[in-house]
Amino acid sequence: MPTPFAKLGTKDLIAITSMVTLLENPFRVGLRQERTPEPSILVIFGASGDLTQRKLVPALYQLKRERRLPPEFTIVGSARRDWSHDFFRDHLRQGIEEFSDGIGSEEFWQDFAQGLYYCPGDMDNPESYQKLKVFLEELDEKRRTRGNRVFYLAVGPEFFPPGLKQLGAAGMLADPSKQRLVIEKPFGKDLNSAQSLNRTVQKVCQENQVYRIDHYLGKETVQNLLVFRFANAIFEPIWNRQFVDHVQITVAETVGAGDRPSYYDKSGALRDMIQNHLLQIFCLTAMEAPNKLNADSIRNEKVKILQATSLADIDDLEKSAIRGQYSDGWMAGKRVPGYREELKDINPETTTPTFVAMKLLVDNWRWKGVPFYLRTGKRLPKKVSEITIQFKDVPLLIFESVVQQTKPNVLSLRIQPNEGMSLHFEAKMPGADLRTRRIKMDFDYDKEFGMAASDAYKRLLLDAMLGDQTLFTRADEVEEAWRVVTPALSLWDAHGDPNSIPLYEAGSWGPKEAELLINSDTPQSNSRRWEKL
Amino acid sequence: MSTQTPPIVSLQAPKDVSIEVIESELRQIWQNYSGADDGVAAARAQTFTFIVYEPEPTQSLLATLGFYTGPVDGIGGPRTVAAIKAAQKEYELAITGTSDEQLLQRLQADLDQVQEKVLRSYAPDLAGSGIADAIASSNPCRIITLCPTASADEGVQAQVSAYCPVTQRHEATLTCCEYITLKGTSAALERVGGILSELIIKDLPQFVWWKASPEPEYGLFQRLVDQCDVIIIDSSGFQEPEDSFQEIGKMIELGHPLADLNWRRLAAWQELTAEAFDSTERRTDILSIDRVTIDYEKGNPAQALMYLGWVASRLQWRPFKFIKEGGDYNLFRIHFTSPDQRTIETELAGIPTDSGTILGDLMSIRLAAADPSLDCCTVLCSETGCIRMEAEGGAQSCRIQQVTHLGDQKTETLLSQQLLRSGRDVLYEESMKMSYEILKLWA
Repeated sequence: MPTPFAKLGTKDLIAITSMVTLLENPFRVGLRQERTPEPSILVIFGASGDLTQRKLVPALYQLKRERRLPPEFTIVGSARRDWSHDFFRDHLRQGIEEFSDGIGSEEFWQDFAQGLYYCPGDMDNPESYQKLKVFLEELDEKRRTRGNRVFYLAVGPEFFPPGLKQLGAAGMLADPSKQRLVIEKPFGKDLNSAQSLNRTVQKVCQENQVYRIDHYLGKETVQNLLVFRFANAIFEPIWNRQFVDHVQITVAETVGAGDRPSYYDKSGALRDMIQNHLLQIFCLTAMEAPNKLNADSIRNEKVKILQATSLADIDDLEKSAIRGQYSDGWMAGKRVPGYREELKDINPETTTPTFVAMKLLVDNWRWKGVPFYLRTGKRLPKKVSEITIQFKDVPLLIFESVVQQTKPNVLSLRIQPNEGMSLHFEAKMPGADLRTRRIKMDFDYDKEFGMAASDAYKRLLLDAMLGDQTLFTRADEVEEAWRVVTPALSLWDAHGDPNSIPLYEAGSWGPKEAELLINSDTPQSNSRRWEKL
Repeated sequence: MSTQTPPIVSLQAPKDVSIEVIESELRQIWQNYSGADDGVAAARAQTFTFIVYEPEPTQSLLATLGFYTGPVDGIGGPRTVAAIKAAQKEYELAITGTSDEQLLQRLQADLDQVQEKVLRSYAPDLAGSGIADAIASSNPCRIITLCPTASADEGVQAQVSAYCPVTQRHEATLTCCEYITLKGTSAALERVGGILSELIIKDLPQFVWWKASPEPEYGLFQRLVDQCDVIIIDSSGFQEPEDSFQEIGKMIELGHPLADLNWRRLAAWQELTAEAFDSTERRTDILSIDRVTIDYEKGNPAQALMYLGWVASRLQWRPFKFIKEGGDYNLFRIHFTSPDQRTIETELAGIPTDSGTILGDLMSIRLAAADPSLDCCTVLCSETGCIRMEAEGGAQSCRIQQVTHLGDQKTETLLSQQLLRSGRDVLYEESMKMSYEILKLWA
């Protein structure tokens, strides 16, 4: 019996092998036929923006191709520009071709495009909503969508309050079983504004209609944290102050402030990353086991852990929260300008942090005395997100180590890139002597499952349409997260002196204050270092 | 999903009505209830209409004889089980809670006897109060049950009732379900088909649960197929699965939406098959599979045929030969060609065994290559199936994985899962088209 490849040349063989590896496992295709959402209309406000073209609609198109959406599913885009349905369709098609893996077959695109509509309107003009309302009712008839709606606010935060009020006034959120609301970040810019926004939301709809997006929660590896912790018996017993020395959470970016530095300058690393993404990862790492896998059980636990969390030393913030700004430096062999240089025409003396590191303490039985170090920044050497659990040293070292000093065990959970996890531990070097060396046991998502991690927006959009709030943040959760960072926020917002903010060279791991934060606070922490990523 | 039976509030116990006044009777129920002053509002669920075709007479007989006081809905729930037990106790039969030939005979005989007498009244509700939990949790708004009877044609009798499963505490509003039972001979039911269309609530999805083999020749079946969103069947109960699968194949080709509860019983097998080839090292081995052996519990090859249809459609094989060998194992040998022109030989064997209530569960599956040097051999087996597979030397060279014993996957549980899905299952349709191709060679 010849092998199937016998007649093929080496070149073909390579082509086939790599093709097969890249292709999906044929037995996997369509296997998990999960719930498809009910027929509904997704209304996107801010439909002319980048998010819609680059992320939302490509994600929806992929869902459609995977047959995860009902045939009646309809998208209505709304924005100020006076576009036609066809212009909108072409605009989105470009987006799918450019930012996703293309439209596949023309026929399929046509089917999808039939469910795309555009309805121009103004976020604060009541007439626009009346017009939209009538249009949606017409579509209900035509597309058989039964009055189910998801309103997606993909607009700037200044438009949230007027948009919400108008939707409420037009009675478009009146039915909690049929109408839902998705809100993009940022949800407020501090505790006060978040509370006020929550009040506005609660005036027009119920909490179970609200889906606050934090796209980090849509990431496969972040969700895996729950599985890893609560589907395995071996980790939970050591997941506490008796065995864990400290935890580090890093989200590093190589990019700078981007095309619109003036936009970034309004938020900065603390608002843009720590308050939402890093604190969400923190919650999932530190929280207690939820009673059930449902939205409220999980969110209750997240709120509980946030309530017990605070900056390590409120009186001396230097020891618990530091910030930094990148100066010019080198990235991938190219000279890059410093942050203030990028903002020289707008705000040359800006004190917006592009780097933040924090030390958090959790006052509960599980974590008392175990510090959680969070850091994030732009223009750091690598694009990497990782959680590092460092365990305590052995009480007495009886072996000689190759590198003089045995390092404690470390468990790393990689969120990106190379999604997976690894455990570092000591092993005996081969040979006559009893010498030890640190080795790594590795689990790699791509290798094990042989398929790409699914896109975060795909997951979140589907959940919102299915009515599953697990991966969305609840009002009290957002407020608690703001509360945790408020001391640092108010100090830094008040500090106008441009010289008060430490600088770091672009392409380095942040200012030296970050090192001091982790290793100079207590005697036993002398040996603590940021994990080299 | 809740595995407990939700408590229920009864708005109206089953009541005989004439079929012309069903709608007005139901309206009356709501009016009466809104008059009741206990602070709890009741509303009809706004979900879907569920039509059940129930030719099996147990529940209906139990109801007529007074053992069962719930709605005759064709859905086996705790109340039905309690009623069966009560009847078995009364007739001094073994108390199993499941209906069998013996019980049916006694019920039928009893019915003939007591036709004229006053029917006695039992209170089986005390033992199991609640409508079928599996269905209650998906909250249908109207269940219409069609019960064909074998007796003389005396038109169609109708019965209405209404119940509200209490699924969430602290809810001020009860969400309720109306039951309509229509009883009559097949011909009589077909005659009132027009009334059936009127009883269906407009603008809500409709599911039909056809508890029999598909009967494309029967007008009532045709009518239901044409008007419903999904027609649900369970091929584990088919008398002649080979014939019925061909009918299903035709219906799928015509674009009729079908869902087979028995297909869901394959889920664990499919999942483990996929898992065996998930890792990148084994992925290419899929292409060297050319021997497939499927053992199933003798009596109904439906699951085996669906699984084979699934594998073949995934790997784009084309069937070209069907050998019906028969014998103790009722052997089928089916040969395929792969897209790269290899010949694939497959074997389906029905193993005589004590099979529980679901006929034809898969026992073991082997995917292998004729060339032993190729490492693609994968064996999946249930507890009993493993022994047979390992005996053939499979234990030495194959990747063996035991499928966790799922027991008989209950029809009601599968049904409630099915009701949560809307839309077509393309994977099922493609697999059934392949099974149809295979069976065309059998005919």
